[in-house]
Parts: sequence; structure tokens; C-alpha cells
Amino acid sequence: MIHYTLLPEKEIKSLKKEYRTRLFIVLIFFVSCGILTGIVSLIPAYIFSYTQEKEAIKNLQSLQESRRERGTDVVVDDLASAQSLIEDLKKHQDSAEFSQIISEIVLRKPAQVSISSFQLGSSGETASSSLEVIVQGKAMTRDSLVNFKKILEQNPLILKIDLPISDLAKSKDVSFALKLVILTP
Amino acid sequence: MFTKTFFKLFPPPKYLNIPYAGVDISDDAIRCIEYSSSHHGYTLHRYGTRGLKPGIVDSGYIKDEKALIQELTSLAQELKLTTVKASLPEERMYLFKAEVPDTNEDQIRQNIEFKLEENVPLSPADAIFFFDILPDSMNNAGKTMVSVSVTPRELVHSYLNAFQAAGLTVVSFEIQAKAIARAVVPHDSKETQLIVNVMNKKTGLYVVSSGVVCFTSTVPWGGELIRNKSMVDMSDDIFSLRHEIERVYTYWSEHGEGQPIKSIIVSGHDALAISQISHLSPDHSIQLQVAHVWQNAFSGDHYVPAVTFEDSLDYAISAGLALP
Repeated sequence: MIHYTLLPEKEIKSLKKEYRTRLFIVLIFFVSCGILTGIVSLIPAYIFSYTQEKEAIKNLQSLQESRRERGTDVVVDDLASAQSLIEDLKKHQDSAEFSQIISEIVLRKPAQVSISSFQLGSSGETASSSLEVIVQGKAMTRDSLVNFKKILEQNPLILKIDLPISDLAKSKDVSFALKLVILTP
Repeated sequence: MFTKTFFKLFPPPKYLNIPYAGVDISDDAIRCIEYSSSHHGYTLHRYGTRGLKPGIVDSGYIKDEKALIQELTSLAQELKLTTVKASLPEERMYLFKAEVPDTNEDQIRQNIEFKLEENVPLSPADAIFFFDILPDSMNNAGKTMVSVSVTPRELVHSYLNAFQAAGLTVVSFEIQAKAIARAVVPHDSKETQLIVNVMNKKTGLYVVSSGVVCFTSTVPWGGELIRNKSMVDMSDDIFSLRHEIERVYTYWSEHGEGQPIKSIIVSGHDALAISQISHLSPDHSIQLQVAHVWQNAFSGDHYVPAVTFEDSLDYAISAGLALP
């Protein structure tokens, strides 16, 4: 370390200022060197990971291409559809048995009413423990259809019955579609 | 000690640890030395001399500033110098010892300022001073002794202007006595020594105790008086120098604080010739020796400098200035 001896105060201040400037420059230089060294040392790792990524993308593309060529995609789609169905069925595992509901409706129908189809599905309108059944068929008279609706309304398990007014337009050979919301146990 | 070892192991960059040369301006020449660090200490990196015509510098006064700047510029360009530590002529400097409270540097400095006018014929405004604390000088009252070097402000400005005009940056001025002591007195010396620095027209007598210059005196007796003379004639001429040495020795023995003078070190161009004269020493027990200018810079076992031993005696001041 230099002792600034026997110099005027102005000169000493100037020398000290220059020394501090040099110290700052050296500090900046070493910090820059550190950052630069860090960047340079990361370059091999960057190149390696970049090539690995490229390789992985290439492998994925070739795998997809090969699956497409072998028709595996169709099988995968079918399996995915089946998986979805299984999932849906799993959800209604504890629900009421559809056969019981169908039997209940068939037993109570009047003789002038014939049923052509049943559609069963979960009800989006009411409680989660309810089931929606659409009963389609034909009634010989309008009165027999109204009577069938009334019979069904007496069942406490049936929460709601929708009969479109248009279905009652005709007095004979009336085609109908009854929408029932049934409470499941 | 720890700091020294640390910086030896991890040297700071050159940009920060600015290398400087020691430049000694005397009446007859400008001498310069710059060391460079090596594994075994220092080595001579640059050195050179520029003779000064009579009248350029006279008794430390710059008489012909233009000519001095020209010589300094020429030397600086030849040796590629930028930063220097320079000597100031001792005829125009004052040295005194003072007792100050052992506190921090600023307080010691303030204390010295109060004592300045008692000791030197300069007001604090006209003076620039520097002090060295004398080792092992603290007493029971919590006071310590300092050696104060004082120089007139206008003298510093005249030398500073010359150096700056020559494109050189001065990082420090020192009195010649301190510079020479740093070169020729061993670093670890605890003894008191008398340095006899023989120049062309004058001789400096410096008492150095534990490495600190405690007393200086300049006598108008120069080496040119004995040149080209036989040993017998030389003995007669040197009588006045011997008388001065005896006077300083007696003064130090009676009034000096510290140990008595143990040895005399002769330096300067004519040191070798003067050392041949046996009766120069005032006491038979006092050993007379020729200065070894490089002893604190490097060991002769590891490095042989390009400058001969005889020529090295001329460089004692600049060698001391160049040392850190």
C-alpha cells in the first residue's frame, strides 16, 4: 500500500479518487469475469439439453408416425371410448336397476296404450339421485293416454311427468313421448 | 505480518497496485530505479541516470525549471515511467521529534500541528508534514514519540509542477534521509546507526534508530574533494568530515533518545574510497561499513543485478524510494 506522504491535500484527494476508481473498475471486471465464466460453463449443458430435446421430439414424431401407419390410433380411440363407457357405468353402479323401473311402468299401463321404447339417462334438472326415462309409444285414444299419465302420477317414486300438449292434439291413435323423472333409491 | 503474507500469496493486480519508480533529484543528477516483484523478492526492472548541468538545481532549489523538465521528460520516455516516488532535498527539510498522545492518526496529526511552529520556522499553512511513530516509544502516561518530517509547501509545489510537466504522477515525496535508510538499514534492525551519505559537494549525516530517521545534518564537504588524490592527501582532507561525524556522535550520546550509535554506514559515490580510511570512526568499537544498497530488495544468492556494487552506491536514495 502506498502512503501518500508530503503531498498537498488536493493531490492526495486526487490520488485517492483515482485509486477508488481503479478499485471499482477491478471489481466490475472480476464480477463480469464471474458472470462470463458462468455463462461459458453453462454452454455445454445447454447444447446437451438442446440436442436431447431435439432427439426426444424426433422420437415422438416417429413414434406417432409409426402408430398412425400400423392403425394403432383406431384401437386406441376404441379403447378410449370403451374406457369412457366403463367410467360412466362405474358412476351408476349403485343406481336402481333399469329393469325394475321398466316393469313398474309396463305393469301399470292401460291395455289401450302400447309402448314402443324406453330411453334411460341421468337427469340434469333435478337431484343427482334421480333418473330420467322417456317412454315412447302409441295410445288408442286420448283419454287412455291421459289415464296412463294419471296412473303414473300416483307412483310416489315418479317425481315429475312431462307430456307435451302437442301429443294430445289427436283424439285417436295418439303417438306420445312421456318424460318421467324417477327417484332412485 | 498477516497482511504481508496474504498479499504475497494473493498479489493484487498491477492495475490496482500501481508500480512506481524511485526518482532522486540531486544537484548533479537525476537517478531512477524501478523494481519488479519476483519469486525471491525484487529484481531491477528499470534504472537510469541523467546528469544535470550545474545551475539547474542548486542546493535543492530548482533554478532552471525548463531544463529540469526536459531532463525528466527524457528519462521518463527512455524508461517508460508514469508513476514515481520522489525525494526532496534534505537541506530544505526539517526533522524533529515530538511526544504526542498515543491516539488515532488524525489526533496525532492535529497535535503535531500545534507543535509545528515551536520546532520549525514555518507556519502550519506554509508547511506539509509527515510523521513516523518511533517503535517501542510509548511511556506510562500513554504518550508516544514521533519523528516528524516537515517541508515548505512551495518546495513541494515546485518539484510537483516539474514532475507533472514531465508527464509523471507523483504518489509520494520523501526526505532523502528516510529513503536511504530504507535501502541500507536492514528491515529488522533495532540498533542505532549513523548513515554518512557522501555526495559531490555535501555530505548528509543521518542517525537512524530502529529504522526511523531521528536526526539529520548536512555538512558542506563533498566527495569531489578527495577524488584523484592519494591516500595520504585524502586522510588530511577527510579530517573535517571526521570532525562532523564525531560531533554528531557526541551529540547523540549526550542528548539522543535511544541506544548509542553502534555502526556507521557510508554510502554515496565515494563511499568505497572513504571506507578505506581507518580513523573515520570516532570510536574503535563502532564498526564502519559500506552501504549494501540492495540488501532489503533481494539477496545476491538468487539474483545478480546489472548495476555494479560501486555504481549501486549512487542509487541508494532511489533504491530506497522504489522499495514499498
